Amino acid sequence: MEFGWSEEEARFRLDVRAFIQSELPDDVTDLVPGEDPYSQTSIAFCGKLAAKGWMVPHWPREYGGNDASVWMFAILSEELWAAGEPRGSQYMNVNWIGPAIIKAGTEAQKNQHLNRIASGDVLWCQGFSEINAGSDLASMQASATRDGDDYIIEGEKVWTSYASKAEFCFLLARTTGAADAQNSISIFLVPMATPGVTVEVIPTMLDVHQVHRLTFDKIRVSASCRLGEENAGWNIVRDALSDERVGTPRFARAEIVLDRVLAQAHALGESLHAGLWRQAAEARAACNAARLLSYKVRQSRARGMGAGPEAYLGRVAIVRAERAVAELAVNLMQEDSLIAGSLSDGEFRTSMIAGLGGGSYEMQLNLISRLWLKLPKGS
Amino acid sequence: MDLDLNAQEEAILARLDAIVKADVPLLREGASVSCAYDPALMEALRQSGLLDLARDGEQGRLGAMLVTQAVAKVGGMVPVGLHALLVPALFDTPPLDLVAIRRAGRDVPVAFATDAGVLVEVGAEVAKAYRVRPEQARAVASHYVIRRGHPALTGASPLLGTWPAALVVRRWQLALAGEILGTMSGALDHLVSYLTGRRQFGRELGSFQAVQHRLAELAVSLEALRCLAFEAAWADSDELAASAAAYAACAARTTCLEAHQLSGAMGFTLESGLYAWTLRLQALSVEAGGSQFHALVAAASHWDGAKACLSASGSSRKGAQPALVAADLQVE
Repeated sequence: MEFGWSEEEARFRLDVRAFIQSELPDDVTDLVPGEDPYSQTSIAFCGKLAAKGWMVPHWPREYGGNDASVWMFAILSEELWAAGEPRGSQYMNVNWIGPAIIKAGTEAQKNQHLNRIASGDVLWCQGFSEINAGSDLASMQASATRDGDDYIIEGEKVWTSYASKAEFCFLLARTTGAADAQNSISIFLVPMATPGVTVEVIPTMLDVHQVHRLTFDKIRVSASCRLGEENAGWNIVRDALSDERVGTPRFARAEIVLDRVLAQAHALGESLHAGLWRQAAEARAACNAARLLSYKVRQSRARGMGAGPEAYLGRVAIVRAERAVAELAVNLMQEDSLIAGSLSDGEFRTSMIAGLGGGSYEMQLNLISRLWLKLPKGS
Repeated sequence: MDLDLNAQEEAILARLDAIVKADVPLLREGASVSCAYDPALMEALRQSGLLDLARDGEQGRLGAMLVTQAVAKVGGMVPVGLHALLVPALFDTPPLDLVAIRRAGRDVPVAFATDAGVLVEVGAEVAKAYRVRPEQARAVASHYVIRRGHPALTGASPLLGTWPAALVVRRWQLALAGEILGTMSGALDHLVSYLTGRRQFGRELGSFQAVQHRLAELAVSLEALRCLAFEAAWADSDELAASAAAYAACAARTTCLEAHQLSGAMGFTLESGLYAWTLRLQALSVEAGGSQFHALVAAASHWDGAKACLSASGSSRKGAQPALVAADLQVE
């Protein structure tokens, strides 16, 4: 074991911080993901990241990467998330959409998509959840029917982030006519400009983030949009999602919020008693535990060991960390935490969704039970 | 950054495995658990050199943490954490006597006091080690697995050395984090094994989701603690050691209660053996001031504003008098 950073890695972290400081607009935290100004900022910022070679540094060179170590990418992800994730939806491109295309895509798909992702100039969204298929994603009903060289796709996807500005959708649909219902899901890389695709905003209590309803009204897409073999989508997406479990280093931002909210309370003249300091220390420990567990996942994957159950442990730890910081923030700021847009308001509402985005907390516990503890299956 | 065991660390575990198989009679299936100190295990660990690893920098401290958690996992009845992580920082030549520790000015029951020939007392600024006579220690009745007592420290007890208190607190916290890590791991293994075999309502208890989620939460805490404890041993920093100890103490308490809740009445029997881990976890969770103290040290190490709260928290305390020991709180 070894817990230190090399000189090169430590220097890289400082370089990334300096870059963010100089290139990120001051008002980025006021922007709402999904709205125009945020998307424009994301495109502009990612272009600059790409110019530095920092958009997909850990990808293979042949796909626009730099073969950088998993730790360089971990450092980059932490610093970007700590700064409010200015890549916006493009973090998904880098973390799992691109890697899924690298693993399962045709040469034409790789040529079409990977360079653009590496250049930081394309927005994607994911078409996964349906109104009756949330945690139970495998029960989705959106259908794809083969028609000559095309597929006709029909159905509805909901709670989709970034959809209003996305150029492509990474869409899951059930292929009609499959012999085995368990293995009938296919993936389609759908251009959002396809006639018959509509996007509506779903109003939510989370004004810090827009989500959408996507309707696919018998849209016609070329079979060349299908990623991987027909009916083989589930394995591809399961592998991709394991990257997503710890792909969002929420703990990095939570640690910063923790320091800031303590400073805010101090500035307001709040006299912190020992109990609050203890709670702060425990929240900081929770952030550190989440960071280290996510490193274990990154290390396993870097060694080609695939997505082990460590990913689910890491994800639970990340949610715990976010909640611990949110709880302290609210305890410190009390009624002031009810002011819209305040740091503690933002942290609390972010923590409310932390256990849902990227797979629900309870699903992680199910998977830990089965795959880590090897407990018997329920009836 | 590398969170996997290297070949040297694997070798340490293999050597430990051989030692505990040969020298740890307790916790074998069906055996009742003794509360007595295990001098044979202590001697085997001393002879192996595994208690000297922490003299060798970062990698050595990681090795010492491995030793601590592995011995605790099998319920070894020795103060392994103190001897693997603290003693090498205090003595060039380790004393042959067993070492016990307490905070100065707090006359509380001390683990292994009735067997220890060295007592480390940790004050606000300095820690001092004294030679004491274990046979003169006053034993305390306790249900928490390890024998405890009030050390026989007198004005005539020879002083063996003086060190900065921060060093001793830090290594004590590492020792506690490591022992809790190992003990928790043993407890969870035992619990999962029991709940996988025990059938009620026509199926294994461990197949119920209500049970599974609680076990999964414990598993996350255990693996989180593993990372925190090893990082703290590697770094040897005040903040990370205190932070790991605070996390460990909270997790220990939760594990003790959850393990018994999930094991039902069976878990309370001596026959089940569960108490050997759970009651020891409970004891470890309160040592050195418990999570409340550890968390405050961690806070004061990171935020200047917390330092005043820590300074105010170290007041002395008399020991509990026999008359106050819950004679009137008998439960039915």
